[in-house]
Amino acid sequence: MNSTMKALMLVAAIVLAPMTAAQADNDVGCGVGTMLMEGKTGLPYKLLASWTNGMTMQSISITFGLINCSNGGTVTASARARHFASTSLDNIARDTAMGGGESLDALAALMGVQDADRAAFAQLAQNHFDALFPSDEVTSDEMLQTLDRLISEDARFAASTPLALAS
Amino acid sequence: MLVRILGPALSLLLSLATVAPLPSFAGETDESRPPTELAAPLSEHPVWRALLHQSRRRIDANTRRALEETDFFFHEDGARKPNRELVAALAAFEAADPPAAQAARCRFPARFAFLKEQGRTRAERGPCPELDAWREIIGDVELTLVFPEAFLGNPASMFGHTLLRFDPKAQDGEAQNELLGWTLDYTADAGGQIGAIYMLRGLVGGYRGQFSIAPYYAKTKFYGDWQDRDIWEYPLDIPNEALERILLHVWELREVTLPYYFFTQNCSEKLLEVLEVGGVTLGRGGGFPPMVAPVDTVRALEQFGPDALGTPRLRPSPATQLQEALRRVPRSERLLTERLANGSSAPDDQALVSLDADTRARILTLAYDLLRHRTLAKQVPEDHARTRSRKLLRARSQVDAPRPEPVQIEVLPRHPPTDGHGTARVELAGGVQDRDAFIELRIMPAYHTVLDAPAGFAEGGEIRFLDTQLRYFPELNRVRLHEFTLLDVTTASPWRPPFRPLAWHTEIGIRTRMLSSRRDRGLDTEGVFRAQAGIGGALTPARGLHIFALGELIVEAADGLEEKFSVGPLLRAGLSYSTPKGRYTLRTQAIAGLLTGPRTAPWLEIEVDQRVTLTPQWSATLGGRFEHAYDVGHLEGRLGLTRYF
Repeated sequence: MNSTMKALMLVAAIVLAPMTAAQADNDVGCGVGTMLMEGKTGLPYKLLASWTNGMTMQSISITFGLINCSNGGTVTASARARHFASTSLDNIARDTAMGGGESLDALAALMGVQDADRAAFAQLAQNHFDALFPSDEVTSDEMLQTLDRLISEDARFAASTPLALAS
Repeated sequence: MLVRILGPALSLLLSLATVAPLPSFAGETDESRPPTELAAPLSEHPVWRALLHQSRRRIDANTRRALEETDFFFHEDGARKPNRELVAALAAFEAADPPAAQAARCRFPARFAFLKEQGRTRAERGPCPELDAWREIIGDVELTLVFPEAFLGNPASMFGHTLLRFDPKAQDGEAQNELLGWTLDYTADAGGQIGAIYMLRGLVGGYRGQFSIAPYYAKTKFYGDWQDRDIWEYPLDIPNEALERILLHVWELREVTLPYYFFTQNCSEKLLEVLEVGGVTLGRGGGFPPMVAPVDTVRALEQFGPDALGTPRLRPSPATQLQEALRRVPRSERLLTERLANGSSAPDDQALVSLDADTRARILTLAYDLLRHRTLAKQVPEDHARTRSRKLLRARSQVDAPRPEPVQIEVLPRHPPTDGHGTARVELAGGVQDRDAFIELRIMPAYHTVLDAPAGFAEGGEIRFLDTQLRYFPELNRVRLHEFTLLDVTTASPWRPPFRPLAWHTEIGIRTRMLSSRRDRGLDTEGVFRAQAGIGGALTPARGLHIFALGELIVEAADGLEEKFSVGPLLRAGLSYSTPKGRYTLRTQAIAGLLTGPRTAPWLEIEVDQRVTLTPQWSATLGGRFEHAYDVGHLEGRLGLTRYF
């Protein structure tokens, strides 16, 4: 092997080494590449990953076709709530424990809770943390069903839209 | 009400009129003229040209060629002849076969809406079930430009990123939740390999890019929670008609994939192509065409109007919030937080229980956040962390304490990306190299060095791309390529508790080495191909001061070297200091290494540079360097004037 070849191979090894070491995801371009997160490969691991019900953020086309729970191109309210809960379960758990937050507010909005009832909603969730997150294996759908039941049993949320979760 | 609608429409028309003298669109219904001729003036309308990606003939050529393959044009020559396309589009929209005409109108609603607005067709669009359902989901929206900051963990993300967010409009005073907005993103589908390969392949157009829409919470999760990137959000105030046209055009592009080039045909460029449909005067935000960096999209949007781009808001990542929150608590609380996070204390520990409710709530939350960060960074196995995480949250839920206000990050010395210097530059310099005077022209299309004003760029980050320095030596009457850097990336994010990021550097290019002469006078200059890379760490002991040290390996190859190439280890350490407003920067670095060959020679280099900002576009630099390598030493001094674009 001549010295030029040797040099080139060394170059490749040296230049690429730190890049691959620092590489954390399938990013390309000036930002995120298509976020293909089948399973757990390649990405910084998510806490409570098994809580996400096997549903991960996928690249969603312009037509939302890849939201798993979409129905013929339209996205129903309960489908949006389920998608949100499965994507953001860890943030929702944190907000629930703290008694409120941006993610819990978003969930309340998707569940049809009136703006005026958001504080009561956060309070309800915090008081029932144990019921909503009975173990670290709970799925987002189980959590949502519990939450839905709590809301329907509470007179304060009579005006809220029932989610009609299909499971 | 009428005024509210007419106002923006009028201002849009006025802004159109200022770009170029527009042909008159009135009185074009003279039906005695042949159709092509008839269409000519309207087909030169900037909106029509933008809808066909014809605004910048050369730059958009790539897009048009790709669009041609996807039945994007009605006319076979539509990619080149806007007038023929206009005639063909009209014919399709008004086809004798109603279902076919309807399908055409639903497939290209933005084109149809434009022709309808211009009075060129009397047809009604009619119902388009898919489009209407889609439009209803997005709803009544406002526009926000989202800019996740540079992610130094990945070479492909170092320039930041831009995406658009469609925010549901606030109704009846109900607060809108940003997380529930929809984002429009243009990304390359890079399959499943490692990122350095992507970047290299992306440079030469090895990928196809595609627009996609996703809920904002998916993006904050990805950029904020997983990549620790802070996100800047710029509210955009653009006319409703423009926004509607943009949305309809996005729909037209829904199944299109386009060639993707990392520096030229990227997210920033494609977003501009889409936004151009709404604001035809956008142009570009800086840089040397055809290169576009994400911040150039932001700058281009300022051209929508004087107040189009609102004041940016910062959405700090959980890591930034954690760091800021930890900095503010007393040491005893930090220690307890650490013990709870690593599991050596449980939430029922007496040390915690004896504290007041607010403090307990704060520590439990911090401990959870710290544990979560470590788990995401894979420093803690997920199975260990999960049970402990739930226990911490459960304990927090039982503390009767109000939810703390989000940490105010505004107090940090943070600058939005639009505060940064221009991303491209030209520099004219003069100096002495060894004994020879020189005049230097330097051109660098991207992006940022440690010597530049730091505002708006990632701390400790440096990216030089295609940095080219040409030197003319008047006495010798010679022009030499002094240095050509293909790519030089340094990320030296400082260590700050609890984070200890790894600094790394990689560089590839051609540089000049001084070698002992075979002539009788002075030293010989030799162009040397070199590649260099290493890892290390960085600190910021005081505001504005940045210290780094890296252990590296270098390979050099040139005909003039004995054995044609050498390889060696080196230590590189340096510091930089910038005054609080970034007007002045001092940088110094030292290199000590070995260059192995038939004889191993030490390499020593010491460099001191300073820069002062003259105006936002202009800087002056003064630098000196001593270098000893391959058994010869020389000095260099250089004074330069830089213009940023």
